[in-house]
Amino acid sequence: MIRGSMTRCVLLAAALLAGLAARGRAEETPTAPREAAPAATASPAPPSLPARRYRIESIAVTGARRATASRVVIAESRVVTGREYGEADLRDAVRRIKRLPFVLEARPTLRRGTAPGLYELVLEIEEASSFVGTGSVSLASDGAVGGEAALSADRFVGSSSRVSASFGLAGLSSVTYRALSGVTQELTVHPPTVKEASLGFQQYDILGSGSRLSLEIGSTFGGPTGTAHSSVSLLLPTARNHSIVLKAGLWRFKGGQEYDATLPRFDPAFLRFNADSVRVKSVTSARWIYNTTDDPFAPLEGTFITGGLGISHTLRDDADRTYPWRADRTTLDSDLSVLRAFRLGRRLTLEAHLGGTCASSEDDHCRDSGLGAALRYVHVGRRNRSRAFAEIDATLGGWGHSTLGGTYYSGAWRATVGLRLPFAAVSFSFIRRFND
Amino acid sequence: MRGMAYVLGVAGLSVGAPTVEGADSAPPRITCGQKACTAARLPPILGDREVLGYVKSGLTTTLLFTLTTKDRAGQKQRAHAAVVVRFEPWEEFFDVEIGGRAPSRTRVPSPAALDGWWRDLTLRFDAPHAPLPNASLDVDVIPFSEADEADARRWYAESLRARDGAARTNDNRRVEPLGQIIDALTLGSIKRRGVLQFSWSAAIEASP
Repeated sequence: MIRGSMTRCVLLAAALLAGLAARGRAEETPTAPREAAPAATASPAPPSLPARRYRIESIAVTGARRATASRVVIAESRVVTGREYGEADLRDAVRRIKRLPFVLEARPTLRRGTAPGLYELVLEIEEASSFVGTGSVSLASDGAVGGEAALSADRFVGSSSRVSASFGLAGLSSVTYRALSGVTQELTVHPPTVKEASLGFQQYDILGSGSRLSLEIGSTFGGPTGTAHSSVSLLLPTARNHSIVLKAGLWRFKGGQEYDATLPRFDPAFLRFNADSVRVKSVTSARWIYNTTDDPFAPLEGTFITGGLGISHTLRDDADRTYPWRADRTTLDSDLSVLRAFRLGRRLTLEAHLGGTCASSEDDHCRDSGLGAALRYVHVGRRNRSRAFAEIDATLGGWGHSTLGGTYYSGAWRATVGLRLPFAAVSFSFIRRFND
Repeated sequence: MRGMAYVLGVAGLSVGAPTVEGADSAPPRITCGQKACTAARLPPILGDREVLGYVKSGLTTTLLFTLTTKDRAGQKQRAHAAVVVRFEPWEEFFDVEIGGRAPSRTRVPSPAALDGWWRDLTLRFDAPHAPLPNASLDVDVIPFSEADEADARRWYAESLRARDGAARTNDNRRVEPLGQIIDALTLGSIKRRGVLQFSWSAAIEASP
């Protein structure tokens, strides 16, 4: 049964779609040159070459080690030959290319076409390594340690397809005892046991420029619980920086807490873990994405907004049968996330972010909301072959009025350093939570 | 944890820096008079392969110059001048717009003439107070200038307007607080797109 938050979900979806339609209309009329913002009325005129638009006759890619990569780059640019584009259009195209997982840097140059007034757009790219190692470690002020590491590889096949595989450790270590004030701290560090593997396939340009079909299967194993999932998604570009992603997936969870439904009243003490308990659910979702960020690892500027609606339907739940009540088999989930990076200097940016998810099955409907800001220093190496960052982030996770009176809030401070090279990306975070 | 710090430290040392100190080239000639300074004999940064790539990309590139001096009270003075360049691949000329108190637009007829034009380029900066003998000159290379250029132009114009106001009150050496704020915003917002930066230090010559 879907409860009252359905209305909230639908309203959120309506707002998202209305925003999408408005932005889409605004960006679908790029033929007229964009008016420059009026300059102040100072007597000395500032420098201003008139804005120009360029008719792109052809597109070429240089610097790609793999021919298929060139075709994917052209598709992802969403530049259609024969049309006119302004510099802002080309800048956005370059940023889309730079967000591709196998591209570090892209730089555009206009060359002569076959006739005056026609131009060839040359995109000079810097490819990342085919093998990339990633790792992240986080240390919390209460002693909790978290982390993950993975090694991934990709390979292009056919005219515009890419397969990727990843294998990693999902939990480098964990702390089983949480220190209390005045109590001797006892830490037990587990060796990395939970492993995860995934296999992906992307078919670019499947339904026109910029579209993408993705298939993914993945599994975790080695721990007390296991998860396996498979999904298919279709990304459709709707405007210059907008996309819609339709996704369908199947999830299988093994291992869960069970109960004895014959007991008269619920007592958590009687919960027991059953490693053979299975839950299977299907998830169907639609997501809108607006993205103008300049880098996926550590952006210096740009906006990223995404909102989605998903219907989750439980096909099988062994544990649920053991409880005296029945959980909703179908839930409607929605989420919205907004991120905006304001560049304060050549290497300094202030990022504001806001996000939240709502689910019809939750008693309080909405959870995981967060509002925060991060001050980030980014050092970009030549041709973006290296990118290092250090940031301090403050996020307010929840706030409201307590039934005991007064207000409460919770959140976290986080300091992070990270480095990305053509073959690796690592980060380390220190987290201090408050009122958690 | 120490291992991670070591990895990050070693990797950090290998990171190439896009900032280029102009120590290996002759510094520009900076001359200051009553209320203005000029910079001439600019070091040949257009010979840098990366800069030339931007300038000859066919898209707009802004070279934002910042002259930093100190007045006799030790207060920093910053003044800006911008050179906007766009190459036309078909005709192989460069359209150039030079900002400042006397903006001008010119056309450099060929890539071969670009070096000569750069060598002869003289930029004028406002300097309401007589500066001390040393100055530094920075240039930021800012690609993609359509929408962003609008911002840069707006802030740049605001900066000039503030300097007009300051010039009107130069006798009592008052610098309007709003002007300082706008100046700081100008610097921050115009520089935000820079992908390369060159810096030089030079002694100031008195104008004849």
